[in-house]
Amino acid sequence: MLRFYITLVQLFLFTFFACAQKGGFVSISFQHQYDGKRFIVSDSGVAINTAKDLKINVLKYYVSHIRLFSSGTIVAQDTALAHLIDASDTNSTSIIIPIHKNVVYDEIRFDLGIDSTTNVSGVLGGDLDPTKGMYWTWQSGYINFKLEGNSKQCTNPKKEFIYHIGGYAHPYSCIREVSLKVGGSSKAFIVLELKTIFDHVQLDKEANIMSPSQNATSFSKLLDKSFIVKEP
Amino acid sequence: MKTKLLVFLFLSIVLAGFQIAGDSLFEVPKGWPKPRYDFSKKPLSKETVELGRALFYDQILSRNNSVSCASCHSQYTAFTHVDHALSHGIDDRIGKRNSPALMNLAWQSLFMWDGAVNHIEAQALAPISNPLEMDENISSVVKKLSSTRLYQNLFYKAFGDSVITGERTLKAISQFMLTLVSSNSKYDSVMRKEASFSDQENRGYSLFKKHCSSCHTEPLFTNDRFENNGLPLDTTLMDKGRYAITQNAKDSLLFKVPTLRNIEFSYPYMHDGRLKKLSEVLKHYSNGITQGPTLSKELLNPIKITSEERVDIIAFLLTLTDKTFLFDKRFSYPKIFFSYPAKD
Repeated sequence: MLRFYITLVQLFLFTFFACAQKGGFVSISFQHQYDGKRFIVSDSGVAINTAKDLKINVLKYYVSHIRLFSSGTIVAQDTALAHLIDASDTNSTSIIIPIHKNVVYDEIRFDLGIDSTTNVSGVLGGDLDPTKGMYWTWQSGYINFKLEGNSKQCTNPKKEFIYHIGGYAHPYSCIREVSLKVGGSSKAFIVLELKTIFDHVQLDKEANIMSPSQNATSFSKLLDKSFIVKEP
Repeated sequence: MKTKLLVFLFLSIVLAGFQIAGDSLFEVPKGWPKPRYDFSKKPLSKETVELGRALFYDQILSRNNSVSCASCHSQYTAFTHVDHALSHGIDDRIGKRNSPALMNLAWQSLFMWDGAVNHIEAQALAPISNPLEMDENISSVVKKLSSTRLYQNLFYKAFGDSVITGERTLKAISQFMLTLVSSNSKYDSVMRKEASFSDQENRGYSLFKKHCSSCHTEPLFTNDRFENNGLPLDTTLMDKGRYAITQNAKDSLLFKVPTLRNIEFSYPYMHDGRLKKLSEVLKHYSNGITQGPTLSKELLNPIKITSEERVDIIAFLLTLTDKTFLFDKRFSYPKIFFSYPAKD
């Protein structure tokens, strides 16, 4: 609750200063869906598809270097190092980008994950604090994308899948750039469609990816294709 | 009068300079290379180092508050764990490797025997989270610290407020570790021309420079690289070192070249502590090399040393013992623990 109020106050202050500087802002909201059906992850997980018996327990990922473009030219960018989007926490899913009020934009680009420079810069705070559970402990590096859940398709005893996708060093770099054409509204909705991922991963053969590897890199290539724009 | 004033001003500046140097938390010893850690970007502070020292010695970092960093990194034994080939952690669980001796870490680029950790600030996360070491997680550590009056106070002093985060906790531990500089052994005195080697030590030093120093490079006595030093693979541990991190066949059986400073106290030797004595280590290099595709190029040709020469080299290695470091009060168990109750 406290976090909600803090976010509210931040939003107010930001709006106040943005308007005072004759600027505007774009609010980018991340949503999550399976086959078009939106979901929010609750404490006990969320069933997203009965036919495939899919349940999601954790869905968290880093979004960084958000940039707005107009006909290929950059017109605004985020200043934060990274944002942790958590599908179980609606306070984490909106990001505000300041932009001059007269400027239009038609494209949003961002990186899914944490770049190599940040990965070798030591320990960081805020959304990048290791207490957020998105930093490997046995070796250095951020987990860019975490997806955990259950499905009867998994052959392991607990019928669970764990995908911790990360890695910043060659040849197993997992950071992916996402580029989306948008309408240019002050409110943009970006949707992560999990069906794109589950149509490709083999839950029976590969239910666990938890370190930088060829498998993780292959998985990361599904991620940038999984984001779509929802027009308001 | 003017001259006197100038002299006074000059002396004041010089003395002030000495004062700053005397209080310095970290100094590069004369003639040493530039540290890898960037002190200009991430400077040390006295209060943060003191906080890090408390954390280093506090068992609160482990799951059941039973082991601290110092359990496996004891100052009197060169900040490592002696007597055990494989170091043991919480509940006497046996780890996979011999704990590394901690010193001169500001000159290291990668940490752990396999270089798994890329920055000293991230280093402590590994033992805190390893189920065989402290079996804890950093979120729980932050919760425990936040409810302790001692740490509310120490974090306040270090960071200007008493908010305790994972970032601050790990940074503080790293700042303490960076101050662990060993540069005052007999070897160092000889290099500073304040002492001289015995004849035997001198012979050992010449042999060392001929056979060992390409990897154990002065003055740090490590080249900060990973090498396969010809140890056969222990088939019970199946530890292939750096290969586990890079998954590159060229890195199979490569381990970090350790410093030889304070080696008298850091036994047993090698990444898995398989060799108990320095004489065994030297016999390995002269007679025990296992050939393989990743063997260090320095070891392709056998090192030929006689048993007398072995004794001479060991005599030299013992000059790398730095008693000032091993008994430096700045690095020892912090007295601040005595002024706070163990539990609030």
